[in-house]
Amino acid sequence: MLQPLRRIIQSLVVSLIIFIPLLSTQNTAILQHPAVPKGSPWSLTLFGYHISDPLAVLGTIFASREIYIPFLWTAVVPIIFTVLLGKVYCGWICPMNFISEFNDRLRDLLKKTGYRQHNLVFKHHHKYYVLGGGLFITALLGIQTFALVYPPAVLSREVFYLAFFHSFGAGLYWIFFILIFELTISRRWWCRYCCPGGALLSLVGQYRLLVIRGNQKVCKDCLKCIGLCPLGLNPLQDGIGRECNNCGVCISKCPENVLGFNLRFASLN
Amino acid sequence: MRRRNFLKKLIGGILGWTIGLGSSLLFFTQGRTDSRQANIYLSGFRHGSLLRPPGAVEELLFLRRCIQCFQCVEVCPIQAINVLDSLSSNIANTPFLIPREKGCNLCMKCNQVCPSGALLKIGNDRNAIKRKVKMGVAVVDELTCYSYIKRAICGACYKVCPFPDEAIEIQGSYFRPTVNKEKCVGCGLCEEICPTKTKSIRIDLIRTMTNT
Repeated sequence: MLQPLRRIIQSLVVSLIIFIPLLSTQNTAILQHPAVPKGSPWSLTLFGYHISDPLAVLGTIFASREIYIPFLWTAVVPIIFTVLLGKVYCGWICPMNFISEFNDRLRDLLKKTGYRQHNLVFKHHHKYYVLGGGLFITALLGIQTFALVYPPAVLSREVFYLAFFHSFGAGLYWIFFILIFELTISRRWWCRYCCPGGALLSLVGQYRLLVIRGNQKVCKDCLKCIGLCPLGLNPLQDGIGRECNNCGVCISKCPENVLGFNLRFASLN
Repeated sequence: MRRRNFLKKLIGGILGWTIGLGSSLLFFTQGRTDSRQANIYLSGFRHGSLLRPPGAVEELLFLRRCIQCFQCVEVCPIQAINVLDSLSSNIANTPFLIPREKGCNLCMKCNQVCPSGALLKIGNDRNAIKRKVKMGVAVVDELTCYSYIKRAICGACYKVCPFPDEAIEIQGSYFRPTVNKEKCVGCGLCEEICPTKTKSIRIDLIRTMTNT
């Protein structure tokens, strides 16, 4: 039940990202309603209020070397969600995650045809160094480097380029590079080891309330969850760590129903 | 030992970004070769800057604050706001106007939606617009203007100007336009309507990269 719900939310987000810019070139009347989200996951307007990615706010603070207070407030809603529920943005909303998961299935299909793929495994904490290095470069050059590489921002920008200027921008090459790299060389490379936005949300949601936990005594060690986890984690041990994005794939695939969403401080029975 | 390891990896991250951005510079310095390039060049790019939407802060701060979310592009009712997708410089994906293609009708919607303070909010009040908006300044080219060379009774720029008799005044039987530099907001409607091919009234930028 959890996974169909997640797929519905993800497809809704992706279709909003694609169709709102395309329809707003026609000056459609229904789009003027304040309940229609305008913009992109990078920064959107809903009921006259702005909601921005925390990475955009942090990057702007470093790029302009000052703090513009009204922009800080726009990141409050995502940060509250992340503190309570963890990286649900990554698992349930991010359009790049949606595309990457289908790319992952394509990878499995490609494997069945006999194509020998590499699977380079890096360390999960590499993405914190990508975040730190990116912040240093942003402050040094004074440009928004994260907006150039962060896939949710790039993807929605390409839709805007298609809708308003009838061509794609340079960012689409970057998306294709990530997808081909993940398809042939390293499985889910960007989300696991590189994404600076995921790194920031991991740090914010480190002590989240909602975690995936299971009773290890009931577990029969079939190890299915480890192979299925999109982020390459061991859900029984790492589900309460900072890397898990609470997507719930392991919960729905566990044959013994060991795993489940639990509060961090509740006792397991 | 742990600190050294940390520093080593941080330097690795910085080096990765440098190599990535540097190689992208090598790939994309060619720029796009479409027909709009000349128009973009003539719309202020020759000053090392671009004609920003109304309410924009100074150019250097604008480039640092703009998060490239494209909400101003989406909200503009006449689709006057353009963006460039080149990675060749820091102007990539930031909004600007090409007044000889489409001027700004001063609806002030773009600075309502800007979340990051690159465009500061200006109310829809006519007096506030007149006082606060300063995108550029219109300059009349007296050598090619039809009214100045007595080829036609034109006055088109005077008719479309949002502040007639204040920003643009006309004189004589040929309707010769003169621009009041203090009152002109630089919306570019006059440049859009100008019937000459080389545009005898043009928006010159005040806010360039050098004098911020």
